[in-house]
Amino acid sequence: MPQAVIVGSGMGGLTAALLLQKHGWQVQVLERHYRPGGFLHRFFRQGIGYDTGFHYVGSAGPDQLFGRAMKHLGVYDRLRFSELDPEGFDWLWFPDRQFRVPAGFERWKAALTAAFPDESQGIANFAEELRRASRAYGWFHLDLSTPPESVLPWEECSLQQVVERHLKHPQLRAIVCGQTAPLYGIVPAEAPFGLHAVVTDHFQQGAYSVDGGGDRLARELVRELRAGGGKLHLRTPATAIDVREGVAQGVWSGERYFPADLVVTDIHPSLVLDLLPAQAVRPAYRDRVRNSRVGAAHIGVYFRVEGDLSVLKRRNLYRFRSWDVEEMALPASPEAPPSFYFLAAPGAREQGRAGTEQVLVAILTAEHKIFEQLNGESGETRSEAYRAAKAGIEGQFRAVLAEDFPQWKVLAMESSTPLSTQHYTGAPGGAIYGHYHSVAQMGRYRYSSRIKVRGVLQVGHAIGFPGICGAMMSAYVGCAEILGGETLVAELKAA
Amino acid sequence: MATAEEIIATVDRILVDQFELGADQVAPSARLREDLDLDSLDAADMMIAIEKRFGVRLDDNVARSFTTVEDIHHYVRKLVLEKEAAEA
Repeated sequence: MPQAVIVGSGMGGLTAALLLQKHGWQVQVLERHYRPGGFLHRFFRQGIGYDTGFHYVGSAGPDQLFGRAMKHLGVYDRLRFSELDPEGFDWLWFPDRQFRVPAGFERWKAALTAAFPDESQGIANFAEELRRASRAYGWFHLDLSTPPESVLPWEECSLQQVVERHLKHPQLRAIVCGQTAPLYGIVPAEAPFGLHAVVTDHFQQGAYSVDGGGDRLARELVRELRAGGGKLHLRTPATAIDVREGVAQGVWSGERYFPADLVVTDIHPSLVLDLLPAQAVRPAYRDRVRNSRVGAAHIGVYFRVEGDLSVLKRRNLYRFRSWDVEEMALPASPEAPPSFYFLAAPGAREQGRAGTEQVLVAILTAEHKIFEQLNGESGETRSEAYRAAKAGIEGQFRAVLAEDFPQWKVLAMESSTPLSTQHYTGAPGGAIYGHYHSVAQMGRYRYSSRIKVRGVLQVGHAIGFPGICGAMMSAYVGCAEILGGETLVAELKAA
Repeated sequence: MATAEEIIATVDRILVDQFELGADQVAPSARLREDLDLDSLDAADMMIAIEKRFGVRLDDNVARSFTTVEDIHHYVRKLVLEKEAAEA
């Protein structure tokens, strides 16, 4: 039986583990943390769970991509998905106007046209271009007759360029960009239109939450892994990949050695370099990875409130303080109100899980290097300056929250910084999506799942697209190198 | 204005430094795949290294059709001269 060792138990790593296991591989997953899941991680305070990276996912219906993949991986029946409000699953709140994003292209076009009747033709053209761009991604539509290079032109133009071509009203432009750009963390001027199209399309099929959040999803994937004979080793950080004559032979975790015919990495490519012998890849690749920009970082604010949360029961809020969507990228500061925040109430959507009903999770933009500087040499204990900045940002957030939702009384609140994210996931720069998936770093500049070392496959959101579905698909695309793309697509279609 | 010799020397230096090849290996007639073990993975890195060094943009299809070191020389020289002409 061929042996695979997976480094990292995030969505990409667990998906790859199950795919290989289904195809006769003996699989071992190594995870540095004491809980599996990477960004699926949920932490607990007094028995109440708070989601960190997972908030909602698109295309989770039984015949849609994510739903099919969960069936294919054997966990669909054990997960309870709840569809967010198809009449408005994302609630965009600008200074003097609100817009609820409905599911389904036709409904979406109709809602935009109702709000901006003068631009019905532009809206139709934009929607058509979005659909065409999404179709270029064969894997996301289970159609590999579309050649991989057909995505290139869609990753060379930015969301802003396409928006400006079709839409005139600045508010319409902001609404279209504001819908998902903050979610994947790239400003419209730099976001590849293809990326925007795929993310938007997958939510247009329907947005879903999962009872128990990412933690539940990770646990079910792990249960399936174990049921099939695979192993998960927690608190087992990979420390080196053993390479001989250009071929990976196994993975070291300190003194422990895990022999492997295949090593799958679900970590940032720069962390893969750290595990490889110095001469394993050429300087050109090493320089490229070391000089690449990592993605956006965030402050997570986790809190409970007393009051009526029904307004967030079936939707997420994207709150913009200005019509300039680019301001979403301004890092939160202790001195000023945040220019943007995302808010979700994952617990309010669950059935029968006491205590979680009043839990809210907010995401603010942050810059890793600010916290790194504030923390100085203090390491894990964290400096006074760091704590003060964190408390200041929480205070600013509390103030805007009190303005936006005066009916709520905040009970308990805590927050995470990019340093926390880095601590728990290892992600360089505390980046939520690993890579900065911008025009300058996608298309022909995309990372490949293969590297010069034979027997190593890279998966994860830095290799594919951001988000839970992006990470999952990176594992399908990566494992297709071993298992065959047509085979995997046929299995997905049959699932 | 870069001379043809300078452009060729710079391309060769990229190949030697960034792809760990011996200076004697990087002959104009050397075949990328067979003689230098440069595959499609290296091609992406090479494009990026050349674009960064010369400030030009390589066409994917042309870059994919390179078979020898000389092919790279010719194409990069053409791009650099075009760029210089446009800037003049």
